[in-house]
Amino acid sequence: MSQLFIAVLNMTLTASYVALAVIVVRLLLLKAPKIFSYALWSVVLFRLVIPISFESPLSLLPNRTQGIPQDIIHSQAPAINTGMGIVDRAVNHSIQISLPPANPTSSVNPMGVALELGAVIWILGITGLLGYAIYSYFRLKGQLSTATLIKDNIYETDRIQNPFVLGLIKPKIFIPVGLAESELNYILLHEQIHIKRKDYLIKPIAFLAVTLHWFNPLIWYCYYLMEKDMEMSCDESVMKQTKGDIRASYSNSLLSLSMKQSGFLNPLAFGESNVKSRIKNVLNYKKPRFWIIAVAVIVVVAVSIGLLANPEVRAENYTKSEQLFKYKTEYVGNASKVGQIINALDFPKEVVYDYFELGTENIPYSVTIHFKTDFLVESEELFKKNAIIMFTLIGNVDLINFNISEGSSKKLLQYTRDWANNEMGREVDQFAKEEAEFTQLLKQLDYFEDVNNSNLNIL
Amino acid sequence: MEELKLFDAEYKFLDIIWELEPINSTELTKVCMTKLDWKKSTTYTMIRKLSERGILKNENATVIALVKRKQVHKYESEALLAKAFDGSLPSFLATFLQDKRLSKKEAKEIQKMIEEATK
Repeated sequence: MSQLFIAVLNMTLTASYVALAVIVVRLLLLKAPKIFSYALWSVVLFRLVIPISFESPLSLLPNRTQGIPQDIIHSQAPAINTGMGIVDRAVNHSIQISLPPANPTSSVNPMGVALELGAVIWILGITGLLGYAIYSYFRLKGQLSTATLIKDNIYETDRIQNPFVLGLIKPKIFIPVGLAESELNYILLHEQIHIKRKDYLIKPIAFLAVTLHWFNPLIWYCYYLMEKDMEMSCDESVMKQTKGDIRASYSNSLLSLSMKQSGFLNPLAFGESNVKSRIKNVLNYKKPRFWIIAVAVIVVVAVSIGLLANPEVRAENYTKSEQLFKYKTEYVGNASKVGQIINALDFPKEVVYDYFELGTENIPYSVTIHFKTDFLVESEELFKKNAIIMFTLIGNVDLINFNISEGSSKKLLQYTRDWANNEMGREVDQFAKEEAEFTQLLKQLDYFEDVNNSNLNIL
Repeated sequence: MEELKLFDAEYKFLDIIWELEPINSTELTKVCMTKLDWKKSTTYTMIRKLSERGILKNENATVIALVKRKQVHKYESEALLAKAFDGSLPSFLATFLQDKRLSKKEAKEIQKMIEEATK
C-alpha cells in the first residue's frame, strides 16, 4: 500500500508542475476559443493517472532523479529530490526534525510507519469522497424518477433548477419545467453538444482522477477551471451552430437560469456553473479568426508534448555528481552525511540495501554497508566504484566493507583507501577539492553507464 | 374545498387518470410508460402516495380520481420561470433580489454587461 501511495505522491508532484504550466498557458490563450484551454487539461489528467511517460529532449519538466524514491522507507537518511530546491530543503528538513533517526538495530522504521499511516489516511479519503459521490448520484436519480418525457432523451421535472445531463450509458437531458420556448432551443442545443462530445463521461473520469489526489488543493482548482472551460467551449459551440447573433438572448437565458447551483461536489450530474464568466464569454464571442486558431493549435500541441514528455536521463549525470558532492565530509563520524552519500550511490539491481554501520572506535575507521539479496551478485565492479567514491568524499575513513547476505551465506567485500589510491593513481581525496574534479572522477569511473543501467526511471 | 397544490409530475399523472378513469392499475402503468416514460415502480409509488393523501383511490386494482380538475392548482415551485416573465430582464432582477445567491450588485452588473454588448 505504501508503494502505491508513494507512486501517487510522485504523480501528484509531476501533475502539480504540469498543472501550473497549464494555468499559465491558459492565460495566453484567453483570446482563443475555449476548446483549446479545455484540451490542455487532458495533459494534466494523463499525469494524474499514468505514472510513466516517454522521454524527450523537448520536455518542459525539471530534472529530477526520483522525486520520492520508492526505497525511501529503507533509507538511513530519508530525503526527497524533486528538482525544486525550495521544496526539497523544506521537506527534508521537516523529515529530519520530526522523525527519530533510523536505528539500524530496531525493527521499527519511522519513515516506514509515517508512510503507512499516510497511505491509510489517503485510502480513507478516497473512500469518503467516492461514497459521497455515489450517494448523491443515487439520491439525484431518485428525485428524477418522476421526470416526464418530452421527446427523444429529454425529460422535464419541477424538482430541479438547472438543466443538465445525467447517465453514463444512456445519457438523458433533464430540464426544469416552465422554460420559455425561446430559451429551450439554446438549452437543448447546449446539452446535446455536451452529449456529442461525451462530456458526461469525461467529467466522472476527471473526478475519479481528482479523488486519487484529494489531498492536493491545486488539483481541485484545476477541476474547477476545467469545468469552466468545458461549459464555455460548449457555449461557443452553440453560438457557432446557430444562425444570427444570439448573444443577447443566450445571455438572458443563462442569467435566468443562474440559480442555486447543484453543488460543486456533485460530479456525476452535469451542473452549470460560473454564470458571470460564461455570460462575459458569450458577449465577447466573435467568429474566431484563422490566425488565432493556428497559433492556438501550435501552442497547445507544443505545450502538450513538452508536458507529456519526461526529461531525458542524460542530463542526470551532472545532478548525480551534485547529489553526491554536496554531502562530502571530513569525518566518517558524521552519520547524517555518510547516510546521504550512501543513499545517493547506485548499487546493483540484485541487492537490497539493509543498513550501514560506522566503525569509529579504533583505526582504521570504517563504514560497513549491509545488503540482502536472493541472487548471486554477478560482479564487484559497481561496489569497487562506490568504494572509491566513498573514500573520496569521506575524509578519514580507511576501510569500506560491503556485507552481502546471499540467502544463508554471507559475502564480504573489503576495500582500503590504499587500494583506492592505487586504482586511481593518486590520493582520491584530491578529487573532492572541487565539484568539477569530482565529476571528472565519476566520468573516469564510467559511473554514468551504471547509473543509467541500474535505475528504473519513473517520473 | 381548498385548492390542492400538486407537483408537476403529480399533475400530469392525474391528467392521465382524468382522461381514462376508471382504469386498471396495470393498464395505467403501461400508459405512463408510453406517455411519461415512467418505470412500473414509479407509477405504483405515485398511486400509493396520492391515495395516502386522499387524491385518488385504488380499489381492486382499479384507479379513480377523488378530486376534480377545478380543485387542483398546479404547484408553482420557486424555481419555476413563469411564462409571464416573457424574457424581460427587470422582472428577472426582481426575482433574484430575493435569491441570496445573486447579489443586487451582481445582477445589475450583468444587466449592464448585456446591454452594453448588444447595443
